[in-house]
Amino acid sequence: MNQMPEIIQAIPLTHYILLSTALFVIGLIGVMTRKNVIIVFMCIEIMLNAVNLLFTAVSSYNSDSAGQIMVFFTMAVAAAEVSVGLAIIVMMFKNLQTTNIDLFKSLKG
Amino acid sequence: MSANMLVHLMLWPPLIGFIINGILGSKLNKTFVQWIGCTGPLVSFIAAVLAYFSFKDQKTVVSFYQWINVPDLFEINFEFFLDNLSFVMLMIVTGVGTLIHAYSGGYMHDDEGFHRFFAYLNLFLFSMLLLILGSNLLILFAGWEGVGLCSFLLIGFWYKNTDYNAAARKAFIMNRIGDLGFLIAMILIAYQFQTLDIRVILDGAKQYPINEPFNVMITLFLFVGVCGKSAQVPLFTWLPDAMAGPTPVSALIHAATMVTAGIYLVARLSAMYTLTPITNQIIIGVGLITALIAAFTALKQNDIKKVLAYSTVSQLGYMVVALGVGAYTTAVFHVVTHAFFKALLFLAAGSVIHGLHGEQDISKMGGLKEKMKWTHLVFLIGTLAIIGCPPFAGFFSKDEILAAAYGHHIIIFILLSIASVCTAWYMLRLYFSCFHGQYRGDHHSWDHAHESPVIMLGPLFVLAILATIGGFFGLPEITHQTHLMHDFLSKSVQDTSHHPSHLFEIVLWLVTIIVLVSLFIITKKRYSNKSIEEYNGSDTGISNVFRNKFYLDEIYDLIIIKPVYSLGNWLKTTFEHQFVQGIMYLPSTVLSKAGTNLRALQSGNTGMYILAMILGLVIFCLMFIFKLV
Amino acid sequence: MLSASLLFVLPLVFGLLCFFLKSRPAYYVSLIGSVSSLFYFIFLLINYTATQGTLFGWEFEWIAKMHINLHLALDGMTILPLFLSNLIGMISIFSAFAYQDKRNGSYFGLLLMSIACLNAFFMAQNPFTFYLFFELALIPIYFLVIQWGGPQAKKSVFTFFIYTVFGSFLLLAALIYFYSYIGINVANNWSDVYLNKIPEHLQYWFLIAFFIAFGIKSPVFPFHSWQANLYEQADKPTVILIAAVMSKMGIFGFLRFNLIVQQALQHWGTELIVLCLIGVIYGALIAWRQNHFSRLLAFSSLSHMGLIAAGTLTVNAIAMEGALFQCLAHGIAVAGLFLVADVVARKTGNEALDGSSGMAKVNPRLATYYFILVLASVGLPLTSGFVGELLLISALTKYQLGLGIIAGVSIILGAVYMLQCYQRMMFGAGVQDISKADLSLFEDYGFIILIILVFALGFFPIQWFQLAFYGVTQFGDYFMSH
Repeated sequence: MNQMPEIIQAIPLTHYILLSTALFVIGLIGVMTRKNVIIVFMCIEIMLNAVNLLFTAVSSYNSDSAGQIMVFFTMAVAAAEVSVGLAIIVMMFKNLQTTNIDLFKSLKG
Repeated sequence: MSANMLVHLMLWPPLIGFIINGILGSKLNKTFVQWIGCTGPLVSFIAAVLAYFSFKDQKTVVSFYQWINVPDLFEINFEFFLDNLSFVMLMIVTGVGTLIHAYSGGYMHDDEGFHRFFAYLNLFLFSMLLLILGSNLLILFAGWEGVGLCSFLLIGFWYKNTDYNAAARKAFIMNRIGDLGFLIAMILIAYQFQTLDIRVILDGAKQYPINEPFNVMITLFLFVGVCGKSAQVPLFTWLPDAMAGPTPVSALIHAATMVTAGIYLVARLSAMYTLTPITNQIIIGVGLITALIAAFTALKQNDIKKVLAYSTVSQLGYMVVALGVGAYTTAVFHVVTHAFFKALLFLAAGSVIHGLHGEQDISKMGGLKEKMKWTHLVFLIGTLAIIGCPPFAGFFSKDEILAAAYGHHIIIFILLSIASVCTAWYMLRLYFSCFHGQYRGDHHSWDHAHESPVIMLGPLFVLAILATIGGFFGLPEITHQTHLMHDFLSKSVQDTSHHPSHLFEIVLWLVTIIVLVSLFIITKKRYSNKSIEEYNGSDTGISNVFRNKFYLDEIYDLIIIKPVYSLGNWLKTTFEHQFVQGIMYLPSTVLSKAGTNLRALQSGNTGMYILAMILGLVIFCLMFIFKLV
Repeated sequence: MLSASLLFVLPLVFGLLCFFLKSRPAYYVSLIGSVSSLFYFIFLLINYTATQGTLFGWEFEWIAKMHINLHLALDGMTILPLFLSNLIGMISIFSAFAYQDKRNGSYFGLLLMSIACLNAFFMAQNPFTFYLFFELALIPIYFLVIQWGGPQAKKSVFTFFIYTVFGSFLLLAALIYFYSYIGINVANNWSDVYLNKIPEHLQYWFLIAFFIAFGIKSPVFPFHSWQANLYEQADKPTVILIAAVMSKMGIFGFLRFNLIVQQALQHWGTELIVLCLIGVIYGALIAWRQNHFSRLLAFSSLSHMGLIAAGTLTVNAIAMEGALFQCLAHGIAVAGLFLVADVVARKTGNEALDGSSGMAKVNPRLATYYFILVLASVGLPLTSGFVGELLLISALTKYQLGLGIIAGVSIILGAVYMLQCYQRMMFGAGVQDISKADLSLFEDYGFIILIILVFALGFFPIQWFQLAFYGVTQFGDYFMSH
């Protein structure tokens, strides 16, 4: 993997970093501010994908496949997380009849 | 019989009597209880008499077994010692003891605690024998505390009455204060002489110079013990209260035997006291103050037993003064005569109380001469003996004490004479109030007043005879007869007092007789026909102070008991809860408070958690960037 | 071949057996367990020949790599405490007779297990074993109190637990420091441990650690606030074990460990003794003002234990003998007094001092037993309490006259509060609702055994001293004064 496709070189790495940071921040703000637990969940996915994008970009620029392998791991974990997370959300909805995250307060000390 | 055997015979019968009556007494009938109770002391008395004939003028040691052995400190054997001083005390304790046991059979006959009473009396006798016979201070101390315990049990004998219980406790605690002095003195002796054996201590003490500080300290601490047991200022206030006990107890314990234990102790250790003149000055002072305070207080008391109790305190003051001036044999002589006449007076008073069904207030008596002829007679003998009327017992011993006091310093003599006049006054007042004039109580009780049964009168007669002739054991020098008591005791105790001239003695005798006769006439006039109101009328000035016992109980209450009581309360309620627990719980309180406050951060809002997380990350990154870590 | 370990194993095995039984059979199994342990101890005592060393030893290599062994054996110092723990164990089970139908098997099992741990603690022949059982003895007591105690038991036992664990933590820290920095193997026998000289500047830290650890357990003055609540809340058979035996663990710790920190004690001894003596007076004054019998006994224990602790801190042979003797004497007296508390509480339903007024009339036998125990507690000569106190006060007087006198004041105050308490409980006019039921057979036995011992210790103290004598001379060589 010494050679990088030219089409990739056409866009500088900085853009990738900026894009993924923007995506990440969008996700983060979503997590912090949105009330609907489904939206929050989607925001978490956005954050994950932002990280995935960064991984692939950097690994391509550095000609190092480790980052891309990592992405596969992340996707697998994300899939598992989605299934478990959605199951939790369904259960919480069943119990509390709401998707408003502010009402899920059993962590309160 | 061997000395060993005799000591066994003296010691154990009362203890066996105590055990039998104590464990089985409630199931036995009263006659049997009485027999068991009286046999013990009687056997002891016989053994003491036998021992006297076999071993007088000798020093006999009887050792049973080793009690404690502490290397580098002391080695204590369970060991007993017979010499002339112990014989004198033995005779008093077992002899008078046996008489009082017999008397109690009549006096306590209707009491439901009959067996308990005899058990305690026997235990008392056992402890007293330990005290007298002990050859080392620790055995002596065991007896010393044991008699205190029995005194506690017997004062509070009628235990349903809380006042009596308080009096019992007061006696025990006052004695314990003295015992602490004794205990400290023993420990100091152990370090000074490496032993507690009395003879070795006395030998050892001779090596030290006069007024050696350590020895002065020892004798002073011992004297604290004497103050407790022999009711001296400032620890004497328990003795008048101890009259809450049955009258035979007052006669045996609080007049004849236990309270003289302190005198015995100092006489026993006299060789040491002669080496510490500083202590002796203090002893004289304490004895004088005691004799005077008690004599003044007795002038104004209306309770027949209280008068006798203060008189006992006053007489003990006499004996202590005698010890202080170095007249040890004289002090012991007075112990002997005092045991006779004071036991007699108490038992006669008991007979009066018994005959009047429990009445003790002399303002409600009078004219009892007609109803109780025999009691009247023995009470008169007792009174004459205590006021020092020749030729009764008290005359000789009191005269000797006065003479020895004169030999030491004239002021001591004058003060003692004042106390002596007071004694004559209050005893004659008591006698005339009880037995002469008109009866001041109600008719009902007058009709029921009766003479006591023979079992009570018998011991009274014996004691009356002893109180009459007891003085002849110690005829004064002027008669050119041998002073038997002095001679006998000089084998174990050495006097250091000075004798005044013969002329002084004769003058003293004459003055005594004149004063007594005039007092007799005055008091007869004054007290034979006094009304009940005059007895109970309010006093003013100094006589009010006398009536209220110099307010000593109140003063102690104010300066010692109340503060300690409040301190205890304050410690319990405030200090323990707020301070000690406060400090101990400080860490847990701080953590708990901190936890409560930090709870607010755990809002349960996930968004807040993430915000905090990110803030933390940002701060961390910034620190990293600016190389703060 | 006789082995001391059986003293640990016997009650333990019987205790485990109890867990599987129903209440009444379990009671009798526990009775057999405690009695057999006591008899085995007496059997060992018969075969005991007084020597300088240890006898009937049992060693078990636990962590071979670090040379850490468990070592249980008898030596002169252990005999009196060991007698106390076995005897009081039996008395405690006697007193549980009244509860035999109300408690299940695990109750009796736990009682026996704590006896086993206490036995092992006193037999420990090296600091490590000592520490192990110092901690282990706490566990059965914790469960006993928390499950069968009074309404506030949870709080009181929790306080107790935190206190003692804190103390043990300091002890553990000290031992680890020994092991890893000074290089003393904590599994060496005591005499080897004493031979090592510890630098003086370190001794001060050790002294503080030991004083707090053992001071909490005894307890001495500022560390006592767990005591009254626990004694009030724990049920009586348990509290008999705690007051009579567990509190002596602290004193035993002082006796074992003071020799290590002698130089520090020479400088700080007076201050620590004063602290203990403050507790003596303080406990007595508060005991005087108490209205609750168990609490009164708690503060009276504070007073007595303070005196013993003060004595041990003088580090001399007289005090050591006195402390060993007084531990036994106080254990006997306080166990008897709690037995009285148990009986009175069951007869009247409360423990207020005035609540059983007039009891002497209803139950003279109990009143007599109680009175003798009171006498032992106030230290009357010819009862058990006297000789030990005499020696302790002697040692303190030798140390400093003033301290001896302050210590002596305790004999006055002791009489003040004990007699007042006795008179209020037994004498007086009387209340109506006292059950007239007599003492049960086992209670009678318990009292009689204790009272025989009260007099046996009072009249023949020398025989008991001889048992402890080699314990004192064995370590006498390590005293600075020699």
